[in-house]
Amino acid sequence: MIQGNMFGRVESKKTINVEANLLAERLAGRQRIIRRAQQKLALIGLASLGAALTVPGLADLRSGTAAVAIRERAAVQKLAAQMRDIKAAHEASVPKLAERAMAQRLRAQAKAYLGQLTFVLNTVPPSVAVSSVKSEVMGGAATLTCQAEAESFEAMREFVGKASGGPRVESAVLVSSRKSDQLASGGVSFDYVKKVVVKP
Amino acid sequence: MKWSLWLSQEGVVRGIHVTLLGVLAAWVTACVYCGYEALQNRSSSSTSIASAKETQSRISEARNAIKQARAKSEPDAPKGLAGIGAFQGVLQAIAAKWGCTVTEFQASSLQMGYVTRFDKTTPSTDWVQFDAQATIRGPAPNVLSALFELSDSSVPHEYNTVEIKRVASAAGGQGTVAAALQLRIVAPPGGERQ
Repeated sequence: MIQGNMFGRVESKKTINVEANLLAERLAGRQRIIRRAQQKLALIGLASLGAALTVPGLADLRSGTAAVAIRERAAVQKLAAQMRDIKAAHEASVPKLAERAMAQRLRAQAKAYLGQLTFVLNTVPPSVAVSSVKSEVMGGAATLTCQAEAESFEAMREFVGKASGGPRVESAVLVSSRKSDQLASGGVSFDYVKKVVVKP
Repeated sequence: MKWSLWLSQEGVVRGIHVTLLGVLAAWVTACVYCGYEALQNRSSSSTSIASAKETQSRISEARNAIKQARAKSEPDAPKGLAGIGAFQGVLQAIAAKWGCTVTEFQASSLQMGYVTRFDKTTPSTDWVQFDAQATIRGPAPNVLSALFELSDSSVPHEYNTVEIKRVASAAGGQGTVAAALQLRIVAPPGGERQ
């Protein structure tokens, strides 16, 4: 017997088993939960492994650096104690050293000053006679005033040329010259001024 | 089967989740703590090393200063008014050594603060100065040699003026000169009155 409906279609024999479907859904849901739990357990495992690999190394680094820091602090304290021990002797030596430095500076500038004076006197040729040399220091510069007689104009020029050389010269001027027969006929009497720096 | 049943419970899953969070938090905390401590210790070590180097260098400087101060390389400058007597003694001795004569020596006992003429500004110091003048007479080279030796003496002084005049001529060309010195005897403060 053919079972049919009014549209001529055969009526399906399929039936839905509601109980079986609910169970399958439940089983699928449980599987999802189990998978999630397993994933999380795996993550816990990975995190534990990661911690086991990294934390001891970092802890060693921490304790190592702490030991170094303690050692360095101890060294600083030891040096500070040494510094305290020699502080009194050092403080007593400071004025003495300053005193010596000052004395050395005064000696050096006196020598530099006399050196400039000697330089001029050493340039005097035999044909020139210096009657006086005056040197005055002021503000780090020395002014040397020289009064002299020369046998000739050329001898005077020679002296002025040589005396005007030397180190740290600011200016050198033949201030005046006049005829003088004191050394020789045709001789010259002259005043010469040289300014040099004597600042240390 | 039992394991699967146990694992599929919502409470167990929540517990696993909380445990995971706890493990992660503990890991991160341990890393951060250890890393921070290590950095702090390194920074502290660096500071200590720098401080140790500085202290070491100060100790070396201090030791050198003490060594130099204890060295008997040169006598100390006479203090205060004692400088005048010391200068006169040194001047007489040096002049005699070079065959010269000190024809004049005058010094003021008026003590003034040291002011240099060799620079536009005076270095900050508590040293004092006494005006003095002296004349040395003798052969020109000897007078100059005496002046140079005087510069090396243990009594610090600073020249104002030096005037060298020819007072007598000699056949060899080496005339006699008189060097008039105007100077200041410079001394550290202190000392006893003469």
